[in-house]
Amino acid sequence: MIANSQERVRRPIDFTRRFLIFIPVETQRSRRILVVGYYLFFLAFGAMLVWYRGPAKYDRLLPLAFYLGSALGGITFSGPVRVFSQWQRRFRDGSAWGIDGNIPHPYLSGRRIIESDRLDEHDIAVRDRAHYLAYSALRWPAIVAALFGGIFLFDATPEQLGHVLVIASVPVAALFFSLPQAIILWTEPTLEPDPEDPGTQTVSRAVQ
Amino acid sequence: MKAELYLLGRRFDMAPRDKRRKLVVVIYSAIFVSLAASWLVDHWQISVGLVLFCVFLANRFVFGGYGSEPRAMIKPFLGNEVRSRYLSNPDSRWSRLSRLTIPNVTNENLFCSDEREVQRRDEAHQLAYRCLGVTVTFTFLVAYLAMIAARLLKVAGIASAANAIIHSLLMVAFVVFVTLPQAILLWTEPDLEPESSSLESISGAAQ
Repeated sequence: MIANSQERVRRPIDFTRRFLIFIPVETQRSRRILVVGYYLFFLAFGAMLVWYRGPAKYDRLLPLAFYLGSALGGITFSGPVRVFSQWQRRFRDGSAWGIDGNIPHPYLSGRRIIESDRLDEHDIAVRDRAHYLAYSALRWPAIVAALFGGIFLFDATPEQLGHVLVIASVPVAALFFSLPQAIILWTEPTLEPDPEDPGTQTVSRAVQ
Repeated sequence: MKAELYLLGRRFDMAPRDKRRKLVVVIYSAIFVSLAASWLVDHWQISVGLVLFCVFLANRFVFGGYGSEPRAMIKPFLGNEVRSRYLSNPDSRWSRLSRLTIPNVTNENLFCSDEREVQRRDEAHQLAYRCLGVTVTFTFLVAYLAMIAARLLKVAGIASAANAIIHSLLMVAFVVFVTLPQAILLWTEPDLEPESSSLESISGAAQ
């Protein structure tokens, strides 16, 4: 799921798959540190925001949860994890088609919009497995919340209900938008070093 | 996935995809009609507990997947992991407990999934995760807007309606979360061939 050396050869300037902003994520160790750091950062930032700006600003963590989740990739085109999209751009004419190559996209077909990398079978398997693990991990908290949430919510006014849901929504959103990406970053092995691209070498020599 | 369903002592042939799709439609219709009836009876104060209990029952005895019910349609999602741990030391305390609580743990055919089934399981969860993301995001958005405009809703006299909408969305999100991957699998799998070996095994387990 994380970009391999072939892609690096094809697009030598694209660092987004090997770096998160400026943090290298090529080795499994660095990616695991990134995952731990990501959640610690979110916790620390949330605590600081509530401490300095008061609980009224707590809801500002909701867009932050989405933004930080998108920085990991998966749900956006940047970040170390490739986009999870079902729709892949066809190299021949730039149109967007389904993964099986038979279903044209309802509104993107024929339009050159995304610079997406085609997912191979391994990428799709890794993506689906990560979603399965994330789904299973979130299942039990949801069941517990459904069993015990009713005690607190069913007599609540809309304002109280909104407050409770906003409080609950931040951890749910933080996990929901980042968990599959975090699982991929945690489990994928260390990337192999890039082979030297003979074409680039030739160009370099010519320039020199 | 199994080609037959055992429910209330009767065997239903579920090999054709059309039948499985009808089953999914019937179960979801029953759940949402029950939720509507529960709202009319006591505004989801007490009766909703019964409805949620029925969702768990449908999930366990009809859909399968999560849990280890041998008669449900879908094999346990964790079957391979549980069985490999069981086989690593069948005499351990954990394995003995597994044999008592999971009757099919010794039956590889009924309990374990092959490579294709594992792949389909993951794919269904990926799709369900996306659908759930839309539902959850919409629910939180409505709750957030209702909180911001609480005073306005009170003045307009639609505070209780807003409350009902948020409750409804939460219910839908929960029902979807618990059942959607299994429903996707039942809906999308092509026509199956009846398996005589699984029939015999289920009959044996039932006896």
